[in-house]
Amino acid sequence: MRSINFALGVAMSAACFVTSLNGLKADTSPHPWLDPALLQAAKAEGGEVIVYSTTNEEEGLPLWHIFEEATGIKVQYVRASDSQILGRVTIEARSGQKTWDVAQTANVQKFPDALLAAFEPTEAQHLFPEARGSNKRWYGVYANYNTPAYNTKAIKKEDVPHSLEDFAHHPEWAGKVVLDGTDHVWLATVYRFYGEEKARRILKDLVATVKPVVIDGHLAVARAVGAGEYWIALNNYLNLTLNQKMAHANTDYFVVDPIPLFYGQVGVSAHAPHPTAALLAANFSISQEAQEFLAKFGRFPTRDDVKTEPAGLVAELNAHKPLTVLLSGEEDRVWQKEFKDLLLAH
Amino acid sequence: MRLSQIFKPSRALVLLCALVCSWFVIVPVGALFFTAFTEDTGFGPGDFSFDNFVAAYASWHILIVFWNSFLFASGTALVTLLLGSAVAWAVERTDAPGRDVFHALALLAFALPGLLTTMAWMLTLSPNIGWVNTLLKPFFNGQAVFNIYSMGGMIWALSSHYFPLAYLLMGPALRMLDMRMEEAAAMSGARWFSTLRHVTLPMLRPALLSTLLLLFVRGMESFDVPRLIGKPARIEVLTTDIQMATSGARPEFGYASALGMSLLAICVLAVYFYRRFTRDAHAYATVTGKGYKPVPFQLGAWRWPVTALISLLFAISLGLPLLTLLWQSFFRTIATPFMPTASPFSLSNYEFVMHYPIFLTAVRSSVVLGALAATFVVIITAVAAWVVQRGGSRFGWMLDALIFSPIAIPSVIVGASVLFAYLMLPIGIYGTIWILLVAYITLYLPYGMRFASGGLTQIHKELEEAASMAGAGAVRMFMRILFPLLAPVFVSAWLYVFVLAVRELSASVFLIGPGTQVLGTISLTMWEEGSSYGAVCALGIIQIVPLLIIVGVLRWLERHVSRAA
Repeated sequence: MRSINFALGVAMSAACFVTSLNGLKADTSPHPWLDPALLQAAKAEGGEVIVYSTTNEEEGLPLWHIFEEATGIKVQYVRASDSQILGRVTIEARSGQKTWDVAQTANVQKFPDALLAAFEPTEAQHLFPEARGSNKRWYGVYANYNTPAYNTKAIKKEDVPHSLEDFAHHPEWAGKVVLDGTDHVWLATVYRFYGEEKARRILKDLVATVKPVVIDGHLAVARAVGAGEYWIALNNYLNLTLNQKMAHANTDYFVVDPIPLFYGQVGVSAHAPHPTAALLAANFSISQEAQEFLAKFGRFPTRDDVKTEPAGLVAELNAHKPLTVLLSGEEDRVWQKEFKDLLLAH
Repeated sequence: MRLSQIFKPSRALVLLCALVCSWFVIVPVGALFFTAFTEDTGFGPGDFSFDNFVAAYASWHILIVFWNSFLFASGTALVTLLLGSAVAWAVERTDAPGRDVFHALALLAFALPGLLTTMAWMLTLSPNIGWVNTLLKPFFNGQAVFNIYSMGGMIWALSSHYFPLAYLLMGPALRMLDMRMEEAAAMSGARWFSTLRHVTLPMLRPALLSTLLLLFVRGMESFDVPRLIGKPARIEVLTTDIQMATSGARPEFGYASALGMSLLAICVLAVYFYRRFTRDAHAYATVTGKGYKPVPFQLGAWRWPVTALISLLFAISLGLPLLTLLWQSFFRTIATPFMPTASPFSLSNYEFVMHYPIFLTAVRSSVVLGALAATFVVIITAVAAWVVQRGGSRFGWMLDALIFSPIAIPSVIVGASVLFAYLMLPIGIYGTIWILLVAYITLYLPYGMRFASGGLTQIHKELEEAASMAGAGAVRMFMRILFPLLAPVFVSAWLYVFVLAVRELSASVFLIGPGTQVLGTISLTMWEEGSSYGAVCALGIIQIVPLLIIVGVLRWLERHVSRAA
């Protein structure tokens, strides 16, 4: 443990030193994120890095291939869902095993603090401020904007609600409104936006009127709305709706306030078997090069210097009221209960 | 004279069998107990505590969950048994044309991943978008005729997928059934119903109970149907509660384990009652020392009608979902057969799957793991069933229950337990395919055991007694007498475990490492992260092809072995 911390300390110092040097000269490197000092140290560790990620292999493997090509460091890639990765790393940690270097999931901030190293990658300075974890244990790789979506054959564009309160005026939508069963962050964001009392009243009215159906998986929600199984998703990941739309499904998004915004995050293990390679890999994953690659798959960047598809969408969303609510594991359990009591009460 | 008095399985064999089974079973069962009775700290278990049980059982909600689970599991077991037995009877006991095709179709139906068949039934029988409902609505005042989002829908979705399992279990029993007893009843003037009630069904009792037991437990622990169909219908069962606990932002393995203990208790009770009802097992043995060669029942004018009925059953239970999947695999957005679709027809989903990184690695890993797991399970359970049934020990049921108990542990917990155990043990298999193999053997020992037990019950001890009297040793007797007679059962068990292992998912997600991905985990990725239903369907269709070839080869082998026997 002490040696890991020491290695991380040395790596961090090297990173800070090189950052200050970089500030003195214009960076013309094809890989500005690639710190030669870190690279040298990473190669000395064995030239390997182990990545636990929720990103599918179609995106994840080519993304990390860019890193491999640039550094010569071999990436061992393990893909699983958010909760599976969290379960896995906690079991591994309890056994005292050093099994992973970098985690890239939507819930790194829910990892116990003891599992994560505090670090400050050079590329972090380019990120939106809210995409940087306050405890330096995570950084945003992509942004996840949440909006409702509707089936364009079942509902006309002019009939979509303008606020959450509007849902209570549509009893004809009973049983046609769908929501993912893990949308606790959405619920927490609504409470923060309206205040507890008003939020609970609005949602109670909404539930009583439209009787939302709760299913598993945001992608399943996007597909089901696109297919017409349900007419409206109360909340969903915007990029999923857009992907369905691009695939000719009868679906589109609409905006009501608040817009929950959270991040796909990267964190480094406090017990990383390759601590320096981990820092280098984490720096890569928030770099312009990596985010431009992910943007091709419809992901939204966490920095200004990456173009989005469609252009101007982020500006449109930011003109509304995006709210970032980050829940710890414990807070999430509380919201899970509230979600169950409120949304499944009908 | 009792067989056990003439020839007692050596203590070494019993001990070895118990040790091997314990190794595979005690680890996850022990982990289940440990996790259930200790405080869930978020970093794994802490101090001894009953908190998980209080959290899991101290509300009225659990009663609804139990009732739904019981209704779902028993309904599925009964419907599945009925359908599977009908097919088994037609294939094994009659001269109806097309029996080989039915056998292949049954295996195909079972080989389809549960996630896909469930999705296919949603696209077929959903009141809103189900294409069968859409076709029928004009004839029913615009009302949907079927609603998949109901308890009946859940039972049908699972039964149509599981009835080949009933067929696989009942088939060998019916094949070995001595028809001369039915003929004797008929000669004595008994009508067919009376013969069925007093002769055929009693002779089949061990196989029937064994099958019912397995189907009931499969229903209790099934997850795909409750998750995709039950959840929108607000029908919660034990497995959906367990899944919710393990997939929270902080997985609650303690709570899930406490719920898993109910499944364990139900399964141990089921084994106990099964053994009570088949206590006089030798009474059901129809393969004895007296020469017997099964002769198919001559259907006469009923040959083609029986074939037509079984064909209709397959057309509905397999044809409808397969057509839906096949159709969907050519479109990116949801597509329903014979309906206009928003996206254009294309082969892009197949191209996507074939070019998916690690696809071929995953296929290779899954096939190798499936074959190894099936082989180990068949060998271990063949010996264990023999020890349990012929060992003459009054503690035999404990070994039976021990081997059966993993069926009660949700796969996700088996995965987590195996992961935990082999991280702690100084055995360097973590991150390799061997840890997956260990988990698969644990998961599928119960199924191998039910196959082997059901088959062995029908072999009368007198054959072994005669061999023993003639001086044959244990190995020689097993290889020359039991193995040839039980070969069809072993092949069925091997096939069954192989198919289950190839599509395993829940435990694998915890155990895969770099380069050891399997087909199940790729399917999950496409389901969770891929933008297209079509890609998942294309993957399912592609999966079927190698399975069909393997099934064809094994069917040939099975017939070859049966003929030799």
